[in-house]
Amino acid sequence: MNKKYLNYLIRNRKVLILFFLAVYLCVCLTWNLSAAGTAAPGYGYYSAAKAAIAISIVLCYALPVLLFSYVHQRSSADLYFALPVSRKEQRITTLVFAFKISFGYFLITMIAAWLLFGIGNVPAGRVLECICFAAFLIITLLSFNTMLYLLANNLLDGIVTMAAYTMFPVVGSMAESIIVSNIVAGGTPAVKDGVFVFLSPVLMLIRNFAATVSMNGWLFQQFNIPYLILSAAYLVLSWLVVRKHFDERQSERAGQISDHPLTYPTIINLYAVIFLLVFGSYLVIEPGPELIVMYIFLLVCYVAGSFLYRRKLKVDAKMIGTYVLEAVLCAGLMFIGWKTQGFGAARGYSLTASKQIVYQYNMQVERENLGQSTAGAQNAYVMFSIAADTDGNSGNEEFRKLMEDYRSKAIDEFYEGQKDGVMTGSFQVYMTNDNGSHYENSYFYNPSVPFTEEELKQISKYGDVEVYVYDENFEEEHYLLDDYLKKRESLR
Amino acid sequence: MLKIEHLEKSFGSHPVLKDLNLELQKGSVFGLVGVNGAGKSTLLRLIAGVYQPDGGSIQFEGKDTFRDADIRASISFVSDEPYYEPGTTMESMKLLYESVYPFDPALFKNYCEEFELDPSKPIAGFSKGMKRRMSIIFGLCTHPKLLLLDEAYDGLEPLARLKFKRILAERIEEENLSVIIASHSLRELEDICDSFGILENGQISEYGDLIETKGKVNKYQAAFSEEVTKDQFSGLDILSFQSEGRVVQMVVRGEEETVRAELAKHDPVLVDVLPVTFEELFIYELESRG
Repeated sequence: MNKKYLNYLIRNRKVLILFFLAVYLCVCLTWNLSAAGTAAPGYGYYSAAKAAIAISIVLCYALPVLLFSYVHQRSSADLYFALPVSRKEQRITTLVFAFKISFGYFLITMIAAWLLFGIGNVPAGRVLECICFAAFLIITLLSFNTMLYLLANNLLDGIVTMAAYTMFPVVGSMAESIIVSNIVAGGTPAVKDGVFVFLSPVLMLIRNFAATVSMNGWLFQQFNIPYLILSAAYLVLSWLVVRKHFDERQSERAGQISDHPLTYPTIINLYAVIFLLVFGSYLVIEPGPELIVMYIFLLVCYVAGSFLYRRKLKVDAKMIGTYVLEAVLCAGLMFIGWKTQGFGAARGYSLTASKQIVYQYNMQVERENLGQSTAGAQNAYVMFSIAADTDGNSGNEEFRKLMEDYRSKAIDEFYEGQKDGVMTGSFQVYMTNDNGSHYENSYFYNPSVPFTEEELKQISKYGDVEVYVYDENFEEEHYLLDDYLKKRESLR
Repeated sequence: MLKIEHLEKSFGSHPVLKDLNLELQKGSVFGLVGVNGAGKSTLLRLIAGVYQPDGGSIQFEGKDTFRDADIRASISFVSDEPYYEPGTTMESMKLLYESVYPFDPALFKNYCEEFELDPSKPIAGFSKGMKRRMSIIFGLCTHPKLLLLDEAYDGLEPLARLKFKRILAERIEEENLSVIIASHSLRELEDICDSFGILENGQISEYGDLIETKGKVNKYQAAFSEEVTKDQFSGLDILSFQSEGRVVQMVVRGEEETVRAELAKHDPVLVDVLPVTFEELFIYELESRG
């Protein structure tokens, strides 16, 4: 680090430094002071910590752009790279300065918040834990965002690259949900929480930070060790890439198009593939003319992305060919996914992963035959939510077999199409942990064929099966299955 | 003092400088000339340590200007495009120079007065010429041993140019400053440079003392009793040859006596010898190579 250069950065950015100090203190402390006395003990401290880290995270995006923008302009690169400060010193000093601002203010805010709201309510160890993790969060995000910003050769491309990689896990998660619900019967992602969170250091870091500032009983949030390890890996990777792209930077590329493989070439195709996979999943379940419009629209976006990349509108056979090839491959992959029942995921559920399995059934049926679905007016609703132990010694094997057979038929129906009846209900299966408060392995089906009345009678041996009917005045009448069947028989 | 050996630099697949060699002594003012795109700015940026050489070396006082950041405290690079951050003044720009260079605030004050610049005014409001003056002032106030001017001299108005020449002469005399000026304005370079180099095809194709070189290249106007052709003067190093009937105008490289003796073999009626300007020298050198 070069102390003289650091001194210059501080003196040159005095106004910015004072402005952010005011922002931190106003945002984090002022509103909490107004709520003091009315909120729960320690609330002000936790609230200030969350607000302070939010501002620090914003700075982790803004400061690399602000402080490293000189590498993206020829005239500024001429000035800064000719300074008697080595590139290594410039890189380290600038990152240290950015860290001092983002973390320094966070630290000041946290100490002030603890003195004002935390003493006696929040243990000092908890504060230290929060501050240490915040330091890790800030240095990781600063390095990661600097890495993305330096991959580009101009300011606009640097911001686009940062935004694209930051948003990609979010877009990817949404696409994953759509694809899974389209091609996997039951619709639960193959990996709990999705895979895209692992591509997002900011998401992993925020989740772990939340664990350090969660109030007991208010928010259940556990510190996630794999997230910590992966975040550390991102930090190391970022340092290595930043070192290479700054210390050995070809400054003659300043202001030119960003042709690093990880900038536009990757971003454009990554986003295109994600959307093409979503389109492909719709193509296999319900092909229609509106999809052609969507494919053409995406092609236009693809060309526009290429225009942004090259700064000139050029549509060539290679570009169209690449897009078409990607579209065909994505559609093909989704077709295989459909034919293999979600690559096997539709039937890849566990029946023993947790202590209890819960089956929830809700079906709109005919009043005169609870085993016949209907969308008509004279209907009834059959519902149950029955939990069964999964240990195999609870005497519920018959019930579980009945449920699993029904689930299996629902899966077949999903892939083969509904043969008869109408889709008027739902069947949900999930597992709970020991205290029943947390559920996972959740699957949701829309079968069209209800349980027969005989099956419902069998089910009612293991839990309440309820029947709801509504009279002409929309007044609800609620029965247990046996009561309903007896009443219906008596009315006949 | 400055020693460039086998310097190579390419932009992508396009080679800009190829096996370039150059040596510059203390206290010299070197004019770097070449057509647009010849690589003059690239060479200056390489010397300043802004660009990394692909091959070869640039040593200033025995130190690599790209790798050894400390030596760059002795080098001032005045780019053709002055940089300033939005909203800054010369006073605020001074912070950077004060922090990392051996900056002379008294000299800064003097030069600001001499070049009629108000350091407290926003630079964005400066004219092009004022920005040029600003860059030169910052370049000089760090007391460099080597000053690199990339067309910075071109934008100066006549009065500022005169002042600059005087200051430069003082600094050369007092501090043994060396200067490399890349410029298109060859007439101006002629007044200020003592040596020159022509950058062509990625190399310094012509290099030497300006006065000495100019003395060796002359324009000859001669009239002969019969019509003559260029082939008849194959013993001369002719850079340019024009004839109209029996009157010939040619630019020849070589000692005047030698050329005169060669011309005398063809019984000239009249021979006039005219000196060439630096601009003419540059044009004839390039033309002679096609």
